[in-house]
Amino acid sequence: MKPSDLFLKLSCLLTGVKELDSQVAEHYRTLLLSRFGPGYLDELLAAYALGSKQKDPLDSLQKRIAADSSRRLASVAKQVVRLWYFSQFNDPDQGGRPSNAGFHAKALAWPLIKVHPPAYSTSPHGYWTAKPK
Amino acid sequence: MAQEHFDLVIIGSGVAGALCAAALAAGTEKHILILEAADHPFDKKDGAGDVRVEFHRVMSLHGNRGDMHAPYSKIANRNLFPAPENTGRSLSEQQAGAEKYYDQSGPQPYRAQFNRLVAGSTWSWRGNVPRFIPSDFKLKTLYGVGEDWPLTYDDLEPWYVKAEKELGVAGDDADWTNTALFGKRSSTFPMPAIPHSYGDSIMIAALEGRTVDGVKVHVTHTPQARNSQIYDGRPACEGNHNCIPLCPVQAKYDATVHLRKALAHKERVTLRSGCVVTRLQADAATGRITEVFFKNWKSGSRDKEQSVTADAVILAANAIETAKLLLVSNLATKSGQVGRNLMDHLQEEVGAFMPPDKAVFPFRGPQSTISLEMFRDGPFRANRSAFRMTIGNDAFGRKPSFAPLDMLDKAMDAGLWGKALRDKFVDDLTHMVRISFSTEQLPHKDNRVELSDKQDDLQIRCPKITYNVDKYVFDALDVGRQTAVKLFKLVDKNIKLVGDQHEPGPPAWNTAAHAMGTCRIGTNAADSVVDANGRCHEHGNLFLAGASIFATGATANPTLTLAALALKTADAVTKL
Repeated sequence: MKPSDLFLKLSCLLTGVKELDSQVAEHYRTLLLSRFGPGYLDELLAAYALGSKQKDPLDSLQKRIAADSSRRLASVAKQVVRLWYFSQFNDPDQGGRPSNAGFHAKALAWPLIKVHPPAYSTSPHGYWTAKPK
Repeated sequence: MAQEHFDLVIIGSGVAGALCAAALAAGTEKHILILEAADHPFDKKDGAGDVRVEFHRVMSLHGNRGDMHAPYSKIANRNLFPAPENTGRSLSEQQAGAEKYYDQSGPQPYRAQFNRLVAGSTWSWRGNVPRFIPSDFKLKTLYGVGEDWPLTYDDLEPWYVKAEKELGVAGDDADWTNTALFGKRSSTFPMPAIPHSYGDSIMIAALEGRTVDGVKVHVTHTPQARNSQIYDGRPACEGNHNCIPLCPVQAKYDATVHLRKALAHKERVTLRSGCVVTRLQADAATGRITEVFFKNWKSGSRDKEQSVTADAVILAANAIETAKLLLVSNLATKSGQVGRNLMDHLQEEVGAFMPPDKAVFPFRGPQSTISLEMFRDGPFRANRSAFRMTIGNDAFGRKPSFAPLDMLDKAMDAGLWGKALRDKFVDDLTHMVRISFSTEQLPHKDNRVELSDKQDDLQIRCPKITYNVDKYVFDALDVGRQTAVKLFKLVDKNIKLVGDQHEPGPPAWNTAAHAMGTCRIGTNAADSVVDANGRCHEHGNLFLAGASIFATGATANPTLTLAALALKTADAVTKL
C-alpha cells in the first residue's frame, strides 16, 4: 500500500472519522516528514499495518501505543490527531508551541461540535440562537 | 527646510485619538496631524489589498484562545515593540524573556498588553461596552476607598450617549431600568441587542429570577460595539466567534472607522504612521507645548529625531505610553502622579461541564453575549472590590489547560483513540460553559510606570513597571468564585466544576488587558494630572485622552467610558 494511503487509513482510525480528505492527508503527511524527518511516521505506520490485519484494528493499535514505554508512538499519534482536529501541530521550530498547518477551515473539531471554524461563519446574523441540528 | 506647523497634533490613533481626530476634523477647520507609532495597511481601499483578509489568513491558529497578537505577528513594527506571546506567564518568565518590552520590577507581573497598531487595540478587543455606574464615580465619598472623579455619571451621561452612537452599540434598553444602580439612560441604544446564544438560553432558564446571597439574578444582554444590523456601512455580526483577536467582517467596531472619517478631510488631516513620538517640548515660561519630536522608523534615517510645532496636542497613546512620554519629556511633574496609579481589571472564571441533557454548544456567535450586573455595587466596596460577571459562549474561555486543543490532548493522554476519542471530545466541548468575574483594582501610588534604562530598537526608553495586587482584589476574586459556584449549582446541584477552589501557590489571575490610571483626572492640580476635560493642569494646550486619565477603574470595560471622555475632550479643544 502506498504511504499516502496508509497514512490516510491510519488517520481515519485514530480520529474516529470514517472519511477524510486525501489531499489534506497527503499535505499533513509530507508536513510531518519535512518537520520531523523522513522516518518520523515509520514506527506508527508499522504498528497500524500490523494491527490492521486483526479483528479490531483500533484496539490493536491502542494496545501497542499504550505498551510503548518510550511514549514515542503516542507522541506521533497525537500530532496526527491534532493536525486533523485543529490543523495544528506542536512545532519544534517554535519551541513546541502550536503552529498552523494551513487547513483551519477544514479542521474536524468544529463540525464535530456542530459549529463553523472560528472566523469562518457562513451563516446569517442570529444563527446562534437556535440549537444546532 | 521650514518647520512644519499644525493647529493640532494627535499622538496615537487608537479609539481615543481617532474619535478626537474625527470630531475635530468635522467640527473645526484645524489642520491636524495624527502621529502613529505603528505602520501597516489598514484600509482595503488603500491599494494594499484587503488587510483584514491578510490578518485573517495569518492568524488561523487556535490553541489557547485570546492571543490578541496572533493575527498581527507579521507586521514590521512588531520588531520595535515585541510582545510576550502569553501574558499569563509568571513574573520570572517575563523578566527572563528576550522579547520583553515591559521592564517588570515586580513584585507581581503586570500582564495587561496592548496592540501597537494603527487604530490601536480595537483590532483585538472583544467589543463589550457597559457604562460605569453612578457609584463608580464617587468611590471615596461612598465607601472611603479609592478616589472620586471630578465629574458624576450624570455629567458624563450625554457623552455616553454620543459615544454609543459613534461606536454603534447594540443593547436592550429594558435591561437598564434599575436607575438606582445603573443611573438614567437619556437615549435608547442605537441598535437592538445582539441575540443571545442557544447556550445562553440554557443558562438564562436556570438563573433568571433566582436568588444568590440575597441578590436577585437578572441576566443582561451585554451592551456591545458590535452590529446587530447594518450600521455605519458595516455589516451585522455573522457570529464568526473571533472577536478577540480579529473580526473578519468589521461587525465589531474598530477605530479605523473614525480614522477613516478623520482622513476624509484630506486637505486638513494627515496621518503619519511609523512615527514614534520621542518627546514633547514645552515653553519654559508658559508651560505650553510647542514642539513634538518623533522618529520615523520607515525613513532612511530612523534614528534621527524630526519635529513639528503645534498650537495644541492631544496625547492618546494608552496608559503605558502616555505616561512614559510625559516622564521622558519631564512634563506635568508638579502633582507627582504621572505614571502612578496603574490599574488593570483582574479576572478569573469558573467553568462547568453541564449535565448531559443541557448541552450548550459553545463557539457559536460572539464570544460572550450575556452578563450579570448585580454584583457591581454595595457597601462591601469599603472592604473588597465589586465584580462584574459575564457568561461565555466560548467553553472555558481563558482558563489555562482547557482550550479545545487541550481537551483533545487530555482525551488522548487518557488513552482514548478513534470513536471513543471523538465521542469524548464532542461530549466535553458541547457541555462546557464559564462564568467569569472581573474585579476593580484600586489606585495605588506605588503601582506605577517609570522609565527603564532598557531601550527599544530606536533607542527610546522602555517602560519600567512596578506592580502589586492586594487583598481588596483577592478577596473579591474569592467572592466572585464562590458566587459563580452558587450560580452553577442553581443549574444542577451536582454539576462538575473547574476552578471552583482557590488554588494553592502563587496568586493567579487573568488580565483583562485594560491598562488604566497613570495620568489621573481630578479637580486638584496638586494630586491629579488633567481636569474634567482631559486638559493638563500644568500645560494649557496639552490634553490627554484614553484610560490613562481614569481616577478609578470600576468593574466595566473601559472603552465606552474613555470614548465618552475623549468626545468631551474633543469638544473642549474645539473651544480653544
